[in-house]
Amino acid sequence: MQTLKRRSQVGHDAVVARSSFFGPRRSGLDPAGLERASRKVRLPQIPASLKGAQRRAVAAGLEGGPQARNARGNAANLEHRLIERATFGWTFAEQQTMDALGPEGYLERQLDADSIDDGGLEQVILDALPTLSMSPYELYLNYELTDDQATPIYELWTATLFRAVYNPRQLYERMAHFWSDHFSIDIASDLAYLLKQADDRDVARRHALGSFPEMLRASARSPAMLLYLSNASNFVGHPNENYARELMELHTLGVDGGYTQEDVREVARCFTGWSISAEADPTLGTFVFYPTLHDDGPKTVLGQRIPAGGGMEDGERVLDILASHPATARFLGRKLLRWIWGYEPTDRMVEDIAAVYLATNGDIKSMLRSAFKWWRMARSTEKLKRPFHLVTSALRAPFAGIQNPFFFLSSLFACGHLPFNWAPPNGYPDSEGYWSGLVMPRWNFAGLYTLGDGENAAAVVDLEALDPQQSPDALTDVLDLLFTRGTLGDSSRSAIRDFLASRPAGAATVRDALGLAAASPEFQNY
Amino acid sequence: MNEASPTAESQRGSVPSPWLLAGPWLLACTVLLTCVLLLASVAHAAPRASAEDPVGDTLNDGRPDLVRLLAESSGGVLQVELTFDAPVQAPGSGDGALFGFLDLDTDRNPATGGTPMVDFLTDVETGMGQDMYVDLGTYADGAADLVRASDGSTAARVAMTLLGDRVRVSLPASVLGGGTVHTAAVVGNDTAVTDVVPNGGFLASTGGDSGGDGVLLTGDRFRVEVDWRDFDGGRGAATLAVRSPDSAVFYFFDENNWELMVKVLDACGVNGHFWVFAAATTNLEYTLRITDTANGTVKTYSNPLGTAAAAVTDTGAFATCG
Repeated sequence: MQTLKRRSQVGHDAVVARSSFFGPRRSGLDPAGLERASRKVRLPQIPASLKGAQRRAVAAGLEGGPQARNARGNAANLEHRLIERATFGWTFAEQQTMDALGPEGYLERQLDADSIDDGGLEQVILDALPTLSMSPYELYLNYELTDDQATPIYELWTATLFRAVYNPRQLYERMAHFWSDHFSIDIASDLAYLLKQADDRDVARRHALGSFPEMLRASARSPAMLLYLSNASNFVGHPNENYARELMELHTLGVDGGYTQEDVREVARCFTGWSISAEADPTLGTFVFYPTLHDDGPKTVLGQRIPAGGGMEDGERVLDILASHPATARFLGRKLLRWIWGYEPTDRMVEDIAAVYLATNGDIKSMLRSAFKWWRMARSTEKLKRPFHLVTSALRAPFAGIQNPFFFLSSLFACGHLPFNWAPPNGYPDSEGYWSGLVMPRWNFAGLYTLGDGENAAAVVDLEALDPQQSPDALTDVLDLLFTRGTLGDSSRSAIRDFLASRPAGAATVRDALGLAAASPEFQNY
Repeated sequence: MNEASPTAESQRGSVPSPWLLAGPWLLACTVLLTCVLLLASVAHAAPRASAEDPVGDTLNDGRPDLVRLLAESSGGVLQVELTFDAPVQAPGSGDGALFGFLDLDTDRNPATGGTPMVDFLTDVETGMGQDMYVDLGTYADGAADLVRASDGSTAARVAMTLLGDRVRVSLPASVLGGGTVHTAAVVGNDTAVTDVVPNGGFLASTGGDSGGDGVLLTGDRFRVEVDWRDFDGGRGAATLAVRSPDSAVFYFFDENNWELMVKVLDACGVNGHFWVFAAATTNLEYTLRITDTANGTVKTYSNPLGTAAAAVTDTGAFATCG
């Protein structure tokens, strides 16, 4: 034991000495730097095929006028709810797909995300935002050494916004968002601006609709996570329990999952030596296991004995134990139901989803199929859109083209919901209570996001498609259909109609009215 | 002026779903008489009411196939029974298992409550405002969730019995609030909705007061029951529209068309009697029957068909103060 301690101390010191990486860092969230980045980052151009499809869908959807909502029966129905829960906002294009495939077919299509043609969107995004594809070492060379932390962050935010709004693989995007919160890493934390790109690629986005155990393994090896939760400096003789605790409390078992402080200690021992490379070469910022810094003694985790000499396998064994634990199934089941179904799923629902998780070894698609069952969704309860969801859905409703991501990111900042910017490791809350007090920033966003025209506009809407010269009544119907599929209440409709009637007919008035629709009480929920 | 015939509830939402038009139901509907009988079978509020549903009218030829919705009030409990064309699998028992919802409009007001499951899941319009519903899919240990539409919370676990091709749900009047309840049901299997009943509108049935059928007034001592008959031979039991501890207002066939107000007053301190006052705004036939449940004494007041109803001011109705 004495030898181990001495050796670990030497190794630890050596790692620290080779790099300044483990010291306190400057945050990349410097407003001036972000503003500079916003001026130099290239804007992804939405592929023409996507634009065309969306605009045709809007035109076709509006063709029926106010009768359209009655033609398919009730304005609020299962199809509408299913689309709202599976996407970042209902659109006519989604409805067209639903009409063609039916609820089950629509869901299966979304679950088979790779089969959905994204029109080249992802490639456009990757081409315009090169930091997304860079390794930590490349980011280090290009941005750390040039003292520009803002650009990688700004590009990742821009990509996240564009993907959520425009990617036809909407359920995939919704789940990537979900898992980003589940395995939350604050991009403002030490060096996360160099490491979060890889984490985003290799954890949430790679496994969003795949296998939870595999995603858990990817997260455990994610340099961003290892650094954020301090496991990068968890060595024998110098244990750091932070990752071990959050792994059980937040990533798997849940706080009531039945683990003890002794389990935390033992899990931390299992993960000693799981760290990141600090070499100033292409391995920089990648996962590395230091055998000499690993505690190779025997351990016991949740009553299961892990023999001595396992090396890196100790950590893998812990991940297996946790991923297959019934408490993990229940914890994830409840969390997933909150995301998809509503804030207060019943215990029985949770048990159902947990059973699916255990029967399929954590297959996320199978869990989603169960969560989206018609008889479950019929009973689901309304949720308040979190600010990111509000922003994306407001852009999706009229198919607005983002011209100035900085405006939308600023709005999200004002609402406290910038992507990957929640300081604690538990992810942004998925609760009405937390978000319901932020009315003013939501209204400010809605009131501004369609203003201006040409290059000055934050987003461009094809106003001609909405026929701005229509009567106030007709335009109210159009906005009602676009934003809520005809479910605006009388009060909201009156407010929009009165506003339209009080102003000269034309594009500027309709732009303002779009903001009213986005600010309506009905549009805040989904 | 003659009253309208009691078809208002059936007519509302009688446009069938495009889904329901598909398949065998299309053939069935070509026999217009079938449709007429179907709609006519949506009974008005009565202790026992039923709505029939054609065999084979399911969506996409799926199962389960509903053939009847029956509601019967007895002993302070509203029993709602769904009958299928074949035995059904218990909810949650794997592929082919029964799932579904029983919508309840307990205040008979379409403007209050949420969208009924029937309306939400199909193109059928019930004309109901869903105040509560039973989630058949939560069946376990002989009970299912009775859910408040307002917030999705579970109001109670209510008895649910599987009887082969029938499923019976027992709803205590104390939970429903008493009075008439409007109901409709939608069912399906694990993967899809398959059938609704009625195919438009709702089934109105007396939910049962806390003491049984009728309405209990004046310290829950006097049971008030009203039967009516119209010019077309239609009959039914009147439905409670609104009440106070001593008074009740009834409608016959249209909840917006109140017909009769009755009150039973404790005047034992005045002349040693319970008084009965009633005033109607109808020329239909009705029989008002009031029972003193303390001793079984019954008083009956009638109005002949075609006669403008006279007021009842019976200050000697029940000499049962003792």
